[in-house]
Amino acid sequence: MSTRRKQNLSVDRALLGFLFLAAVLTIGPFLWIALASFKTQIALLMGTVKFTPVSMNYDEVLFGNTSTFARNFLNSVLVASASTMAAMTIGFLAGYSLLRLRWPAWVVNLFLLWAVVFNLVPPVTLAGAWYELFRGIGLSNDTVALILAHTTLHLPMALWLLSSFLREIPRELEEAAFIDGASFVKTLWRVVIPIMMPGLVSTGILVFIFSWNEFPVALALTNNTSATVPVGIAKFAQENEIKYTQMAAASVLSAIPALLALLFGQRYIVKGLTAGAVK
Amino acid sequence: MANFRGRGSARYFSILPAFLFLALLSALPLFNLFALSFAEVSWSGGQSTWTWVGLNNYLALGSDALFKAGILNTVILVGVATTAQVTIGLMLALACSRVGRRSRIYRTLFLLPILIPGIIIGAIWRLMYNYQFGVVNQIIDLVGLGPVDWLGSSSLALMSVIIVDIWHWTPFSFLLLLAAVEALPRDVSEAAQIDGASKWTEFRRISLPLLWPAIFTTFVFRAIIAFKVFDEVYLLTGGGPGTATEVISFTIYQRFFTQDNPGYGSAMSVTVIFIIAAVIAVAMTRQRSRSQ
Repeated sequence: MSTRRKQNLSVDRALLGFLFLAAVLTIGPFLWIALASFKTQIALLMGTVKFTPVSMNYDEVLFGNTSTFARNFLNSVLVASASTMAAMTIGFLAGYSLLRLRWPAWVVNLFLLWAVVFNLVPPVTLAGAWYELFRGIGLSNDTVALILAHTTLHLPMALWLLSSFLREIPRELEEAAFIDGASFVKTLWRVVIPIMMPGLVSTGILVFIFSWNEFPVALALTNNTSATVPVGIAKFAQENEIKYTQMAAASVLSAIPALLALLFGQRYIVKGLTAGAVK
Repeated sequence: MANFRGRGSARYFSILPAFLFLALLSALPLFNLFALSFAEVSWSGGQSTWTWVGLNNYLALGSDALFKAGILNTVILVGVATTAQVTIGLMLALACSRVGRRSRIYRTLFLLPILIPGIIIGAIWRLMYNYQFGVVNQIIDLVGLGPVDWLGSSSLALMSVIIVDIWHWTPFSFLLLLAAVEALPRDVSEAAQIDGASKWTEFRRISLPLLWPAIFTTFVFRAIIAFKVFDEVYLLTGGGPGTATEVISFTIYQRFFTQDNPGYGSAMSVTVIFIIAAVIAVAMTRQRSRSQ
């Protein structure tokens, strides 16, 4: 038995080593870009290992006259918040309705099919269709257009996730509330929503992050004033002389929502990502 | 009680907004895209004119070198990257499950690439791959190799993009497979050990067959997302050099927007949607007939 235990210990040690290596490879690029964002362009180009950190890249990206990053950041906050709120509200109501309010099977299947098909279609193909639509109704390059597009893009995911969380709630609670005379809205607000708070948080975090990260549709539907963060970052790469260190600083700033979500909500993220895929 | 489930008007009001989004912002634009694929659009004085061209847009696809390159590169990327992600993801999941609580920090760290914008991943790797100062060349210089032009050489560029995709999405495969590995019944593997089965035999004969449905699902899931790859390629290579890293989403974007040819871009979009639908349908029937 003791040789077996020793064997097990050395196997564990090897596995921990493997995991450590994978973690280094995962985190390394982020650390490298964070270091690069505090270098001067010359220090980066020379490949200096020891350098004095400077904050000029962040100053330039956030407050520089030619930089649009601060504006992009505000646009992203607006688009991601508004489309998350919309997708959550609409998805929650529809999910509840489909699960609990006795719709015929074909209606439920229609929405289910929509959610599945929507996940198969590359967003670029929709970007073209939306571009034509919004140009037709005079909303081209408008933030409202992007909010509507992002809501549509993430509504199937919200509907799918929220339905899977709703299914875990026992029906009897709602029926009891109804018997006690609670209205439809009151039942949702006082009974259903408090119980499924963790599921709502999971869905909300994921939808926000997905909207924050979304690139092709934002690229197609925005101009200089309405551009979001990913569109702004992409512009760095298209200039004749790429300002590498500023691109690094902008990248670090754009990762803020992801880092916050990871610090405070990783439990919810795991729940959301696995619920979406497994069920 | 009879009134509870019906709930009168609330029933309709609760589904209406979702239905409007479904009808007006997804069905209608897709229908429009389909119609547009049979037309050519010209602009004069802010007014667009559609000229019907029948199947011309579709027929032109056959002789479009960019479209062929886009499809081919995307298929290579999806095949290689997805296989690598599922394999490495499974190894990481098995390792994490085995060492138990001591792997908690790693489980958190592995989430990071999933949450970062794809365009940032592109930016990070573009800097790391840089010929002059990139860290990748600095590292291989330590062992006396390089420098290598990772993104500028047409024979290496696609591989470099695939490496980034593997780095970006292995954590997602890991997460899905970890859930499946943790759900494996413990008593079966204990029984196998008592019967004297080696670790490898136990894995191949017991764990792997039990994990197979999860592996298949993860593979399909990843392949669907990989097929849409756009952000990283946009920043890393822009499809170049030449058509070395041209992927299909990128081709559609170029034809539709950069060249402002919505009719042709729509025909390409419709074709791609049909290809994906066909592949999925075949995969589903295969899987269904196997499980029966």
